[in-house]
Amino acid sequence: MGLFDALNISASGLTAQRLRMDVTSANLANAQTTRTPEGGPYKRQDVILQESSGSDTFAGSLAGAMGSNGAPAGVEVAAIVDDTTPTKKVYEPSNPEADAQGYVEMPNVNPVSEMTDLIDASRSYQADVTAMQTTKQVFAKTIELL
Amino acid sequence: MTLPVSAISSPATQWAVPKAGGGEWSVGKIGGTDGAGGAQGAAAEAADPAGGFGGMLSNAIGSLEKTQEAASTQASALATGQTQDLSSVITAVQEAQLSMELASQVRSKAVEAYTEIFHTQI
Amino acid sequence: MSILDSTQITLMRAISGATLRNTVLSNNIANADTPGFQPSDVDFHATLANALDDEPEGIADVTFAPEEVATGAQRADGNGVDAEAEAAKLAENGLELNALTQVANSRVQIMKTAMGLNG
Repeated sequence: MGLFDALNISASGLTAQRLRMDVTSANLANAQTTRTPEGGPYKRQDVILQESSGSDTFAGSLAGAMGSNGAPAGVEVAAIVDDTTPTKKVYEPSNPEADAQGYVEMPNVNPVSEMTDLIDASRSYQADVTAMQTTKQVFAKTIELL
Repeated sequence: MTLPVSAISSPATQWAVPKAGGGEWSVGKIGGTDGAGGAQGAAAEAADPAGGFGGMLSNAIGSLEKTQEAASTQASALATGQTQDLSSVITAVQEAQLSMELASQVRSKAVEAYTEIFHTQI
Repeated sequence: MSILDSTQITLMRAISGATLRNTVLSNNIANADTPGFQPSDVDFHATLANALDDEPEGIADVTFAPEEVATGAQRADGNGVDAEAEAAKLAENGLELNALTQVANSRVQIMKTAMGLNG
């Protein structure tokens, strides 16, 4: 049903933005972490978003099987990947983690850009919430037609 | 001694009944001179075209039809995105609604009045 | 033959088109951060206007489809969505949908009054 689709699409946006916020918060929290279970400093993580193909809904699978272009289906998180930018090296010989030259490998997290990401994600979240409210109100109005 | 009542035109007249079906909703006009024989013993006299009760009703129904058409045009313009002004659409629809209500009430009262007169013992 | 007249059918199709537009705009907003995504829109006004001009009898069979819109500003990751513009369009579409619904409802009430169902 068309209007329930719109609600699901907005909900998928909420989920994706929430995940972005979670990952960004984890990056911020681990900005000083030099030791991880895998060894080495914390590696900054990134969220990859892609447009959802709707293949996890019946209607989407049906449309795909019939060869027609899928209807809009929202957004999904394709993967959470490690950021490949190199880690920072900070000169701190007194730190127990320092290597032979006195450098400590710190995570490649830039707090300023993480905060920007956080604000961006929360703004997108707000936009999705507003979209959902509009859809709900429109649906209620259409029912009054009866 | 005659009763000071003006002639009622064609008792078996078509009242304000909307035409169903694919065509535009419109209101059937009141027939002027058809006496469709439904009312037995009724004095089915020819309508007085210049006025009288029948003429008044005819005018009322005519203006009702105009308001309905205006509302339809405005609604169509809204659907195709050609309206500049939402309030004119709402006004037209409101007018149509009120005209129809009025016509409905007039119809009821007129039928009541006719029935009462028809049953007057002579 | 339907009891609804052609204006009423036009209104119902417009409501259907506006509903689809609501879904498509919501999708644009949800994908405001997706790399490479381009926004779409549904121009149901134009579709209806053309259908009324070309073939008024077939208005009940008119269908709507979303089309990608070519926007000016693109971001570095290939995303072309302007979230504020999409949100404004969504709000405007919601109001229009309400107006269409109200007008359609009123015309039905008029019909009911004529049939003698309202007082």
